[in-house]
Amino acid sequence: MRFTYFWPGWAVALGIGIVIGITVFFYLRVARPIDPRYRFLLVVLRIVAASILLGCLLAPVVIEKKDVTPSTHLSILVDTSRSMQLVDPPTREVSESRLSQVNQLLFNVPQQFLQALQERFEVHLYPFDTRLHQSVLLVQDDDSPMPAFEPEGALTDIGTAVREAAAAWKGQQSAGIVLITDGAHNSGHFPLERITALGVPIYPIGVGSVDPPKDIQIQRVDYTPIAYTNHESVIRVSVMQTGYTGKTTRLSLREANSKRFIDDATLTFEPHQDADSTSDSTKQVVELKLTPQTEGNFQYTVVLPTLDGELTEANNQKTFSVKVVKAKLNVFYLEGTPRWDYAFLKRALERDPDIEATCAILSHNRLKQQLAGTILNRLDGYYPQTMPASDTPRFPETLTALSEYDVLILGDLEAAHLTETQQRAIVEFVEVQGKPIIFLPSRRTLGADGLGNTELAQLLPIDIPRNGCRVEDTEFTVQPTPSGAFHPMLQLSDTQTDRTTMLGESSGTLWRNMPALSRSFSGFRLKGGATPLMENGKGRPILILQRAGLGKSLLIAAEGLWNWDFGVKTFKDTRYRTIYPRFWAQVLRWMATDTDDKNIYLTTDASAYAIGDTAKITAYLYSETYQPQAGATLQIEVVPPDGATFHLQIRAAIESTNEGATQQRTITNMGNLYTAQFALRQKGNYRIRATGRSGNLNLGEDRLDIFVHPQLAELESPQLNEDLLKQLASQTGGAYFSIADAELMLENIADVQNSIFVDAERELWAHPLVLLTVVGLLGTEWFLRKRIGLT
Amino acid sequence: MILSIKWKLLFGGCLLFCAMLGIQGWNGLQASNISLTIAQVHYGGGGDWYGDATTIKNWLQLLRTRTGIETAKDRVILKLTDHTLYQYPMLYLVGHGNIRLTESEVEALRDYLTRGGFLFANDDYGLDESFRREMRRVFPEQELQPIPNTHLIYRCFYELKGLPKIHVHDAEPAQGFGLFHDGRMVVYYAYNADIGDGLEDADVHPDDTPRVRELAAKMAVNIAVYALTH
Repeated sequence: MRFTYFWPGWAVALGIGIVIGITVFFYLRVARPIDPRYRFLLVVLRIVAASILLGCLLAPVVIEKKDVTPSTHLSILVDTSRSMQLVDPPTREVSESRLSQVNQLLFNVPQQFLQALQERFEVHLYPFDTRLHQSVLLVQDDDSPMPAFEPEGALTDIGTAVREAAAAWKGQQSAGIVLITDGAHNSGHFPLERITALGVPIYPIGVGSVDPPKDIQIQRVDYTPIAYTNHESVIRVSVMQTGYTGKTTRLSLREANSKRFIDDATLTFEPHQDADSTSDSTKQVVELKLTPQTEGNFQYTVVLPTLDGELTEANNQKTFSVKVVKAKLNVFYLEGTPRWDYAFLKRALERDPDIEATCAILSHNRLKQQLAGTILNRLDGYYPQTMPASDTPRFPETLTALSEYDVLILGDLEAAHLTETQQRAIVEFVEVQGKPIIFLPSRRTLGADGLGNTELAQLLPIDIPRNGCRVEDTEFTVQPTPSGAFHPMLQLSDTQTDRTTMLGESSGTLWRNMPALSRSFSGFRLKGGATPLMENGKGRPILILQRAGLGKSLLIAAEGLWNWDFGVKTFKDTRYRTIYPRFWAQVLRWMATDTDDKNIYLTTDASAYAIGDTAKITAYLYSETYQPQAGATLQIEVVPPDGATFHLQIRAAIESTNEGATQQRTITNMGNLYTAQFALRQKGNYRIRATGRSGNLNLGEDRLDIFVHPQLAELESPQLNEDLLKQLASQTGGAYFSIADAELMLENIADVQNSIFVDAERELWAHPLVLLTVVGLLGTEWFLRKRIGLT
Repeated sequence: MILSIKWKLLFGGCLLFCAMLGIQGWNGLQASNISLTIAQVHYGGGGDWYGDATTIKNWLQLLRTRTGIETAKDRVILKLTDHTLYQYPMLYLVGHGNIRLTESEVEALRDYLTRGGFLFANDDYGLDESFRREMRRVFPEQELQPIPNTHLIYRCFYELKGLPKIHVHDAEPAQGFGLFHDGRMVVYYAYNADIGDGLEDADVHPDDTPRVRELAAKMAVNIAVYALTH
């Protein structure tokens, strides 16, 4: 005890002395005879009472030891992904689902697992799948219903869940994280280093069997999204099996809607190639054949029958979409001079299985006098392409002969290369028959003696100046224009993961990284209706598209495109090696597509989706003259599998969210580009139809279908991943336990620290007992005084 | 103001000169990377890789004048490991002596040829043994194949009866050999012919007759045209 002094000690002592003096003085002067014992008692009572009151002015306090040890948190994370609903092969007497075992462990009162932890720690119980969910309220009332977790998550992300749990109690004492899971992490790379860096011990409790369950699954379907009428396409199906080695089954291919049989194949599951392997899982690739007869969008399904004892039949089929278009493109490529652009493009065309290319080089007329003694003299100026030389192809003389081709490419040609008859045939080929023409010019083609003064000039998307176009021999890289960034001819991304947050950015980056070209043409004037799709760094058009009559015309105002094929061969990123043939395949296919009355084009960001994905639809609009069509009204109709059609409509550059629907949807307008995205919640076929208007002009429509698969990642490796959980425990300083031995964990979770005590002061003077004592003393004095007759 | 005839002519000449310069600037023949350039291979092993100093210059001129192909004026020299290798889809290799490629050069040449490049190797006499040895390292799975005289490379511009023998080192017949990848000839090897000597400036090998030099010119044009069209 110590004093904190309202008054100084000497003042209190003086007061007590005064009280004693006055009390003794007055009691000695009392005239009435009093028994000395009473007198003494009365004096003492009065003095003690006054001394206690005066003693309070010294403000006495008592020093006590107080326990201030903070609460220690313990987070328990329970995996509620769908793999936790699996029932593993019976081990011991257990034959219930993984999550049921967890519910029993946590909430079954006799086990006292949770209660034992709560006695030592402040326990927080969280369900998780791809992220941490809200903690479960732990009730103490015995009458409350027992909570239970349900397996609902489509994927598992242990890393995110652990990081979020650690962040929730950051800065506070934590005994660690108890992680109850089967370890089936399937959301990307497992971030072991990042988890270790958190400094929180993890105590995994493994649920399930380490032996993979018996199952067959269609793991992957490889196919060409575009097939050609009356041409065979090969569908490669990767089938994974576990536990069915030696078993024979049949894989079939059917049209998804009509269930029409198309092809099948018998497969016998082979044993593992490595005889020493203990794994009972093998993968086989089976080829099926598809030969579509009609054009259109079709869905096909590959199906495996359900086998005895199979884990699930949900992964026994996959559906995919194929766009069937006209058979091989017939391309005629006419050059004027041997050059690398010819060699590399010819090779690309000949390698493309979907293109039937006829390539020819016709020498300049003015050289014909020098051709004496050459074989070209015998071949009317044509360079022989094969032996015998007489088989060398020649440019068609008539429109009828030219009409056999779907696309025409004209290279380094001058006015004198083609006869007027041939030139007129080309013009009719494009303007009347609606066929496409692609100009791959040289300085001669766009020079003073080039095509500017020929009938072909009307097909060019540019006006060539009288003296010819300017030739610029400086290196430059290309980049898509705003119109070209989303044009199908220039798209280089296939999958959702290839794309970055900004639509088209990935393709644009790839184009900018392509090898530089070393010659461009300028000084020309774009014709009305010409649309630059690609430009150099100075903003000069390099790739120009225009409608020409019923057909289309494309001009590449540069030379040296072969660099995009040969020059990328040193790139470490092998994606670049396919860009040149892909560019030409897309250009030829798109140019050859019949676009009458169709000025809307729909594309998707992926060829297949799973439930929970977000579909990104891109629509771009063109006017009749292929000018980007801004300010149009676009309507997108989506028919999900349940038939509950919803619409998205937009007029101007706005962003809107339809909040009234069950599915989240957004749509954004960027000039002539419209992007829409919505969450895919249902399994099955989504039919998407876009229609557009600009004032009174009908821009036509485009349709596409996307197929949504159930999310099956949880069933791909559903066995207990004990190795991962043990590694996680050892790296973080925790310990691993199987669910059967979970009680042992109680002893292994270390207390973070010993109890902490601090000195705490308690005020004595303010205690009620002081007042009661004083009142008691004075009351006793009053009673005695009355009794002996004192007033 | 009245100008004299002399001043009028001078003024007119200046205008004409300026106009020609302008035309040249707009549409003239300019050297550029687009122009066909043939790169001569600088290899190791002690052989005279630098030989045929005027061959490529004359070869390019032949192509320019006889076919209208836009070409550069002279050769480029590079090593197979140079980072600029893929700017030149056609290589010229020549020598009398030993050729030895490093492992990285072997790998680089194989990549170059299988990815679209073309090599014309000219045996200047004495190159054969080491060239074949090195080609076996580049393409271990195939040997140099004799190219028949009916092959398109002897017919693609000038009609030749086969590989002409230009420089007579010995009485052995000239032979053309090739290596192929995916059906495309990626190496053409002129053995015992010495096309390169026939393309050199006339005073380098004065014993070569104009007829022989013309044969070399025709074969050289054919080789380049073949590479540019296949």
